[in-house]
Amino acid sequence: MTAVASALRERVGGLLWFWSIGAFRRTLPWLFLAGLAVFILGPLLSLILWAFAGQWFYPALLPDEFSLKWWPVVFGNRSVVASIQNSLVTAPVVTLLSAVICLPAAYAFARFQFPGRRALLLSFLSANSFPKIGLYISIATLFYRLHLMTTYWGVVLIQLVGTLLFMIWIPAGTFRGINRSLEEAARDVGASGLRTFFQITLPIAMPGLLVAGLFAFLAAFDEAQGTLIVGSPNYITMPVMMYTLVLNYPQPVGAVFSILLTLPSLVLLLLAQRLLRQGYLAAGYTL
Amino acid sequence: MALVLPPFCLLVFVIVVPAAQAVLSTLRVEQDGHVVYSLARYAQILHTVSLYRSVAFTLLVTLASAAATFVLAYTLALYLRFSQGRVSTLLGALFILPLFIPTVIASFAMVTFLQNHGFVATLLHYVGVEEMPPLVFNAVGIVLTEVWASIPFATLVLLAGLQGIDDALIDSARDVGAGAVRTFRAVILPLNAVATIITLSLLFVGILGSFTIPYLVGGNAPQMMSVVMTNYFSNYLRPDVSVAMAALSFGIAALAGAAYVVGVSRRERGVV
Amino acid sequence: MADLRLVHLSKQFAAAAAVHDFSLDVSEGELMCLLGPSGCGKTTTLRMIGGFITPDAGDILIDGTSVLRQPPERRPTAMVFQRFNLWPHMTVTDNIAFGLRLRRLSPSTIERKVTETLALVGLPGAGGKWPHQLSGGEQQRVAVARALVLEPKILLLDEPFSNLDARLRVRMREELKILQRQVGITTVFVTHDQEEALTLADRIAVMNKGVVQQVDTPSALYRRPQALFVADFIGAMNFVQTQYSRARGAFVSGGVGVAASGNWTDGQAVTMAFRPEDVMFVEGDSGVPGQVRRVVNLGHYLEITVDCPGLGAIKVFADGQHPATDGQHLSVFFRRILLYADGTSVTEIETPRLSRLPPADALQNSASF
Repeated sequence: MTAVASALRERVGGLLWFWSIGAFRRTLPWLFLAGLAVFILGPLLSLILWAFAGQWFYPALLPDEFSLKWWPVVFGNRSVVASIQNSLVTAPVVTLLSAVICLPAAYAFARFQFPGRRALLLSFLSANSFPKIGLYISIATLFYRLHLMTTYWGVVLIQLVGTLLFMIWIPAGTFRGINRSLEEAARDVGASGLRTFFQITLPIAMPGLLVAGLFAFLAAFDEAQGTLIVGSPNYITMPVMMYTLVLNYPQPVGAVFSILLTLPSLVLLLLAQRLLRQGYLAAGYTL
Repeated sequence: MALVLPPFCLLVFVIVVPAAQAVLSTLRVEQDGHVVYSLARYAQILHTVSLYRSVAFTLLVTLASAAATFVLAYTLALYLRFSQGRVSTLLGALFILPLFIPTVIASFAMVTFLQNHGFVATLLHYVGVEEMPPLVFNAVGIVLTEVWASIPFATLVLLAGLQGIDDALIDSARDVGAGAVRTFRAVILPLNAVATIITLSLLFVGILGSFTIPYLVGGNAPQMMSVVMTNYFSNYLRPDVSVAMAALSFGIAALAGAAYVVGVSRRERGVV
Repeated sequence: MADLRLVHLSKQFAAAAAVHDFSLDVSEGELMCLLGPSGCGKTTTLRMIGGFITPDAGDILIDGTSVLRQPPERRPTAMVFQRFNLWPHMTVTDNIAFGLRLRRLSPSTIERKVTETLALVGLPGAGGKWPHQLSGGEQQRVAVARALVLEPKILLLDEPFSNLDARLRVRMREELKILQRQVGITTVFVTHDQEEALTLADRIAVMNKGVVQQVDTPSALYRRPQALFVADFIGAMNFVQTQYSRARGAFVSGGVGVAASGNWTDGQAVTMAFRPEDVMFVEGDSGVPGQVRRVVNLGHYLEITVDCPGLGAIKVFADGQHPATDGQHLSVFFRRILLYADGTSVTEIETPRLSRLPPADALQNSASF
């Protein structure tokens, strides 16, 4: 520890007197940005390099040899490919189901005052705080009785539970942000409650709902613990596969698979750029 | 309202009932051939060195991660709220990135980044530093990774709270002569209290219960409770201890949650 | 074309009564204003008529039929809200046509009605625009168009102009009045602005704390407010607290007395009220002496504040012909007084007799002026 400390101190010490100069203070935000960039992007960058590394030995800054040789290894592995397929089949279904059962509830939370409203809202938060490992036995028993273990629907069910929070809180915030007059005006001209919801409320709320859907999808897609419990060994999704790859295979393999696993998230990130910038995300996090 | 029932029922069915069953089972202890309800198992846990060390370790790591994330996130939120310009735009795009990286990958990336002979070690080598203290497979690694993964969420909530503070309120503080620090303490901090409480309690609860990061980034001893739970279940085949630890972990989380409820309710009934 | 009857409407929120035993008759084609300060129950009443709030007691009759059981979508009422009327994700045409499409009218009929109504509110050709492309005033016009296109029996407006700036508000008021006369639709208009009510309404219902104070035409309300609250709320009014003195046969405040006849109790507290325009200046010593404290030039008239010992500060409206200067001594004289006392209805005195009373001395013959 002391070797690092003294070495760093030597280098930093010389810079300290810059503090008094305004120029330094003005560059401070840039330094902060740079530091944060290194912290956030660094690990990802190293991962990307590993995915394309043939050979990489310390202390080389870049891989000694760039190669794509690990990619066929990943794609050639049957269980890996199966896990990719499974992920792509469960996550969208989970998101849709989540929307169907949660959006009406979110609307109720936003518009109606009923006893126990806050308690219910919080229960969604607290239920997710119970460690899933602790539930293994009970869930396993329950799912065994219902013949859901290692099945598609069992995995869908357990992933669904993880998305409830996003699909209720963010839409509830969005619905609450829509002024009541807009809905009352629709009823005033003759639209029933249901029609008002579908033709007025939903279209106006759509950006916020899409953000919620985005997070629900990511939550379902990245869900590992519950799927590990319910799905293995027959039904494995990508995150669960990742555990195995990280622990049992050489680094580049894990790196390649990481890129594959991150791809849907990044694609959605690019698509949702506009929505996120409009502040729908932050709006959803208010209560 | 009937509309709320479907998701709630699902929750009860898949989480609440199993959890309740699990906790009940930990209270059932064999005594002289009879099955009795007692807290004996919990007493046993708190007497086992490795187990209570794990509890202490978990609390330490959770508090450290939550604190570090909070400070970093608040700084970010303040900067994003009150500055425009290139740095702001870039920071805005940057901090949100970890949100889209699955936890498994984040852990793996952190390991390759921080490990012996990893990326950081290589960079330090070029600066002339040869010996690097171990940054992974210990508390430091867990804290760094948890912070990495928690920044987006914390910053978003704090930023949302800050955006609710009208510029006029800040301007009037500066108008009567308050400097930046004073304005922060007297105006911003109190008005942003709700968001602060939400952030801190959700950070605490989230990190306390996280599994993937300690599993992949943590060391062999001491370990976070979630990893210990898994080991006791899968490897030592002692599910009873595993579930008792889970209940304990949930109990601690519930305390944080209670603090959250009390803090938020009191403020929402107040003026701001 | 319909009449509206509110019968003993009541609504209670939490601890306070928002509306208490409110009865009102609005005749066909009339523009009735509900006027009062915030919290007086006017919006609650309007929303009860529209069907958005269910009354705790009472009935609402349109054309003699009770509409109490009908939800908003079935009632023959149309409402224009204060804000957020237009649906942002639809064009102006779609906004207006929405209700028509629900009634399954043919596309050509819908198109014709939309065009006609847009012309009616003075926005021909705005059909293709989006709400965010319109100004505040234009948006409210489209909202009115959307309400009128359905040919409702009752038009309800909830402070529709309060979010617009002052000049626009005045213009919109005038246009609404003309439009309402033209279409002849029974209208209920809620506002907290008494000037707005006085300009627009055929009749005004003044409300305070959930209770109706007075229902009358604007001029009657202005000329003869029945209650102290109404006297204070409508227009500008001077108030002087007096006590009836039987010995003097007058209402007394400080050194000033107003001769009175009638059934008054000795020592009874009576509030004297008079309009600024009913105060005259007189020369020399006749009248009640005072000193000018402030002169405000409002363009077409002057508002002069006069300090009168015994009466307090009085506001006087005078034309520009007889300007007064700060500190000037003059005498004031009232043309018309209204008297308010607990338990009695308002009394009016035309050309009251004022006297200056000697300070707390034995009874003397005081000269009248």
